[in-house]
Amino acid sequence: MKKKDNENRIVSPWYLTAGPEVDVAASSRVRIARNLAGVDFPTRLSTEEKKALGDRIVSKFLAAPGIDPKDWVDVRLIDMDEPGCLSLVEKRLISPELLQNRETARVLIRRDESASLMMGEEDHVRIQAMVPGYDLKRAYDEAESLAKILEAELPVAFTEELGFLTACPTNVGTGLRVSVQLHLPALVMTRELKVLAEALQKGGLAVRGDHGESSAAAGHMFQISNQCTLGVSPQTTLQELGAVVDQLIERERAAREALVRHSRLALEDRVWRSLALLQNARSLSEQEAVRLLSDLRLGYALGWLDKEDLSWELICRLWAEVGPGSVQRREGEILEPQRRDYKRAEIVRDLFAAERGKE
Amino acid sequence: MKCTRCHKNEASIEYKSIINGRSRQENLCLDCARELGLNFGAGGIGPSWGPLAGMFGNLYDQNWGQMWLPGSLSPDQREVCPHCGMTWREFRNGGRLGCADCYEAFADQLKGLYARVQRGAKYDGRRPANSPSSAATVADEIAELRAAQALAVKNEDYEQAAQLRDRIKALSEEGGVKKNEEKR
Ligand SMILES: [Zn+2]
Ligand SMILES: [Zn+2]
Repeated sequence: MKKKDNENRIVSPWYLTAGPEVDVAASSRVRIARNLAGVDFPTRLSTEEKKALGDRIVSKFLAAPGIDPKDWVDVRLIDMDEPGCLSLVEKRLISPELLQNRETARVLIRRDESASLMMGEEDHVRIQAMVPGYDLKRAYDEAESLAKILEAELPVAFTEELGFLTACPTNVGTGLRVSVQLHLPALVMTRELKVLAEALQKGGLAVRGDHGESSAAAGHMFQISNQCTLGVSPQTTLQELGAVVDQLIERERAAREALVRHSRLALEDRVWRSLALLQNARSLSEQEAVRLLSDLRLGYALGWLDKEDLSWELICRLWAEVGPGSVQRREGEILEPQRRDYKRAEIVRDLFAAERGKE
Repeated sequence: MKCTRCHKNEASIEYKSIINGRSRQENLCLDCARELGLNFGAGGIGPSWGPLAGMFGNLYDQNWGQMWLPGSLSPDQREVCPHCGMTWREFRNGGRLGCADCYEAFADQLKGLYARVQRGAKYDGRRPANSPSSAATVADEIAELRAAQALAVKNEDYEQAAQLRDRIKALSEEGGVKKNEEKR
């Protein structure tokens, strides 16, 4: 009984809370790649060896000082159904690449979903930490502390010259990938983003639509991250990315102001229509849901929707629940697209109803 | 490997071509590549490579984009990692190294890659949390001595500072540490 209590312990997920600059910056993420010394990279390992490696990392990590095993959920993807795996990708707890190696893939997930350790991707282990809003330092400190805990338990592949060795030389050195997820509806509407993205790419930063190109475009959610890991320190990496994020946030806010100045009524109408549609629709595709939620997010950030209408938490929760994986996971089975859209609309209405019930 | 066009010379250019929708691996000698209008100067085989541009639709490796160009293979690029058996060619096709020793085995070739996709070829960051290497401890000791030296100077304890300076000098001259010191 006690064990069951433990497993079902409800911990509020990290993404329901607000963070710095959350009107534009949805979240910050830091990912660190590590490989164990004396073990070949995954391309050279057999299925059995990969499984054994997963066991080794998990057992060492969970037994490490500073780690409470009760805070972590240990998942072998092979034991999880398809919707479950997909929902992990949607919540960015695992990468789509990990799903491709489902047979050997394993992941440790912190109960509040703010951190995960992926095993079975191109590197032996990838440590990831996510925080709400724009807070690179906090995300970095989180991921670093987990990396250090692991390094203290297991010898990692490292040389003085090249730093931490990774399966792909594009990650060698710090093994660090820092990214900020930005909600940029106004820059998209004013067509500024295209120009900006090109300039950023030339400067060695990547701008990508967030999970699934099409839904990202609909939701105006973009991810900006560093590219280089060798010849540049973590501090500089954070600073440089931060400088660009600062600018993007500023530009998005300016674009929002301009939009409000020139077409306030049209924009307000759009926000309120989107709210009504989400509350009443009987069928919602992922694309439509994400597009409508983007409007709510913008409306909320502009101060047009107050707590009476809906909470920030509800917007974040809806955003996390409309992906096809999450929808089907709730239903517990694979659904054909049409039924999935009905189900999605139902889930959205239920979440609105639950919110009203709270008051 | 012999050139797939003339079958005489040693091949030194490798790329994927797509002709009529079919992907093909080509290995050409420099002469044949020139004849076909592929130029590979400072900018490498770029999007503007001569009359065959339309025919060779995909010189770009899917995983790597243009970073792999120019795709010249010199003889030493057929080397094999002694530990895991990975060849440079295999790595270029798959994009993933086989083991930590690959970095040593392909050190020269990787330098070219770092120049294109990284900021430099020298690591800038901390050591592993449990680093057992002596270089680490020596370097750490030097850092500590430096701090003590600075403090001594600040307190105008010049005799102490001079002693510390000599110890730092002695430690710095031990092998392997020099490189790290230069960086600081
Ligand atoms: Zn030839
Ligand atoms: Zn190797």
